[in-house]
Amino acid sequence: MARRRTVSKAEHLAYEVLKDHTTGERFQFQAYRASLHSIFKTPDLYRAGELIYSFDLRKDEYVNFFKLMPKYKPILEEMAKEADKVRKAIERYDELKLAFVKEVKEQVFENQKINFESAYLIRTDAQEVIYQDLKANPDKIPPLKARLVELETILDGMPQDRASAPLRKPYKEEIESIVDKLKLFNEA
Amino acid sequence: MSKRRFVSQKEELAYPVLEEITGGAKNGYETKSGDWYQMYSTYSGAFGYRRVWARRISQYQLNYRDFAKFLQAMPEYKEVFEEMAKQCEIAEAAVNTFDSLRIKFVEDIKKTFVNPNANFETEFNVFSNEQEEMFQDLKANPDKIPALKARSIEIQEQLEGLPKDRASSPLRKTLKEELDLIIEKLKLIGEA
Repeated sequence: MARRRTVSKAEHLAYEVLKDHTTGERFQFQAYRASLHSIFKTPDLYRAGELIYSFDLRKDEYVNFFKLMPKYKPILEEMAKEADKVRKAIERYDELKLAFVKEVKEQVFENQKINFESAYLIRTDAQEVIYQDLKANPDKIPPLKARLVELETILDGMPQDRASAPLRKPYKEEIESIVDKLKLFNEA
Repeated sequence: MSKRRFVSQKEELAYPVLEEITGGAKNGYETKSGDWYQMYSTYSGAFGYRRVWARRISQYQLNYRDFAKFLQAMPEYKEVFEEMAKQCEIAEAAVNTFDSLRIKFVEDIKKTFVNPNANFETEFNVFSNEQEEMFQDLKANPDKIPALKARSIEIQEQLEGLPKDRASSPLRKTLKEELDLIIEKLKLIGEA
């Protein structure tokens, strides 16, 4: 069976939330700004209008139109005002979203460049404690590896008969515990 | 030469304005409501497969399923998400107001068009002030149209019955002038 990566509970929960607001796991959870130009596009891609700007209303075609039909000026001015609100709100939303995605990737993700589509295991609370400890103290890893080799050598030197099984048991349990720890760092 | 449709001076001025805020002449100046997904969509492939890169956040979502679990584990992001949901609400309300104003404006202005169902991509002539007056008169009194048509047939019959000699030329001229005027009027409303 292929070895699975492990992730923290926080990272697993972040995947679910980011899925809806980014390009998703297949495309590394990239966040994009909105294309306001596309807001009135239909799925068959014809554009059914634009969000107008106040300065648009000073263009010749609008000026000439208002000269002949001044009653429509307040409506179009109101539309420009609402369009401005849309732009501001979406800009702010995008800013917050981009900052959030960046922060989550930096603070919560362990590796931003992995294949996020690969299967993973979520660390239990006990595993998380071990993981954080080893992450904070990476110098603990070589002694663990050395102890593992030592234990394996001891086990190899022991008789393999039924009578000595209780003697082998504590060594085996210690090996399993070390392997579990090292697996969290893909070191076993 | 193919027959050109007539439009009023107002209609001519409305076209460039509508071109920007609707689907344009090509699509009969139809409008459509704002679509949140379209702003965050990309298309690929021969069939224009759409991929949506973001969804709108609502306040209620934050207390529901994935969001609730996430915010429970990382409450430091709650404020950011609440602000994002607020901005979505503001944008949505503004888009809705923009849409309703636009729909009303487009509907209103289309009612003033000579033919709201025309193919707007076709060439057109703009009414002169005189033609505009005739058009408005016929539009306000459509019962005048059958009388004009009848008079046009009557004049044509009279013209056919008249000798083609020089003596009857002044009478033919008067009748022809009247016929031209009637045809011009009928053309304005697409009846000739």
